[in-house]
Amino acid sequence: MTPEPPSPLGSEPERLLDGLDPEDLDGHTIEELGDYLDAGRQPRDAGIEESPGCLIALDALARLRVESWAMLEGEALADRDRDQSWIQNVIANISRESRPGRDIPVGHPDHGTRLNITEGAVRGLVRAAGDGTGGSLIGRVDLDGDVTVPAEPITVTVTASAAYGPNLVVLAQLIREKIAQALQTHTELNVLAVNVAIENMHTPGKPEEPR
Amino acid sequence: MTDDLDLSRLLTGVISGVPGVTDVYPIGSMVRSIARELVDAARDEEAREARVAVTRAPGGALSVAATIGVEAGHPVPEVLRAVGDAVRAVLETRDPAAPPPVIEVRASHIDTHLIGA
Repeated sequence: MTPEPPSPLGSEPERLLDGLDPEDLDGHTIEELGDYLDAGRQPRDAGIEESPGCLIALDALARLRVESWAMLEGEALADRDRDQSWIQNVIANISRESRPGRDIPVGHPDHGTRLNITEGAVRGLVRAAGDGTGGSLIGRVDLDGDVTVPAEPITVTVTASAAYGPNLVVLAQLIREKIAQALQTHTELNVLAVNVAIENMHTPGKPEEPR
Repeated sequence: MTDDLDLSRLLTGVISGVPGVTDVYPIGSMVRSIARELVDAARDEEAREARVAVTRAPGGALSVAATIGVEAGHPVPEVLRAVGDAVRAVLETRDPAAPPPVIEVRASHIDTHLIGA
């Protein structure tokens, strides 16, 4: 296993949170999940590995650690307060969005067979698709509209942070396309629009001054 | 009760074998209210592999509920339908004369490691 890079903030990002409601994560806290990631998910904790909410949060936390390091390298030391706040918000959203939420129906010709995807699973999917573009991290995911009604038009709104460099218009379009494609593949949602708001841009750090 | 526990075990195995299913999650709070008896039985060590909620209405109709994880390489709707069909096939084979069952399958995690790769 490749060791994870050290956090630019000097500690694991999730330690910045002062505790979230354990009910959100089947009785586990985001800090416990961070410790579990540190240990390489060993020894296996069935309570975590068999909790869909914990798995969604673990996936997102793992990406956050790697991507936030890449994006914040150099900048965090110069503007520590700003970045702690940004990561705090992302982690709080990961925890909130990992809850099951609403049931999103999937059709079946037999009325006695009821199929659903949880809203938490779909939010995790959207976050993974957005994070997967490279050079950006999803901050918040909202599914706006009544997702519990088949064919009901809905919109998806995400916020994102971007690394300095790429054209932001192109980056937002790439995020939009990845999310739309994932939703088309894995849900039967009637998505009218995917709105992407890039709320933070992380500038490159200053080169170290010679001593 | 033992029959239902055996059926739950059988269905857990069948669902686990459907392509795209990464896991069958233990009966959770969403179905606990309709599966209390099975949850009680599941405290038994032997019942750990019985992860599908099986309950019976007074008329004998079965209700089956399962919560699964899905690999992102497989479209979730297709996997859900395949699981629903697999469960129904098992139930119809076991008791062709039984009242039509109610089958509920919920995907609560999509393994996204393949996305963006």
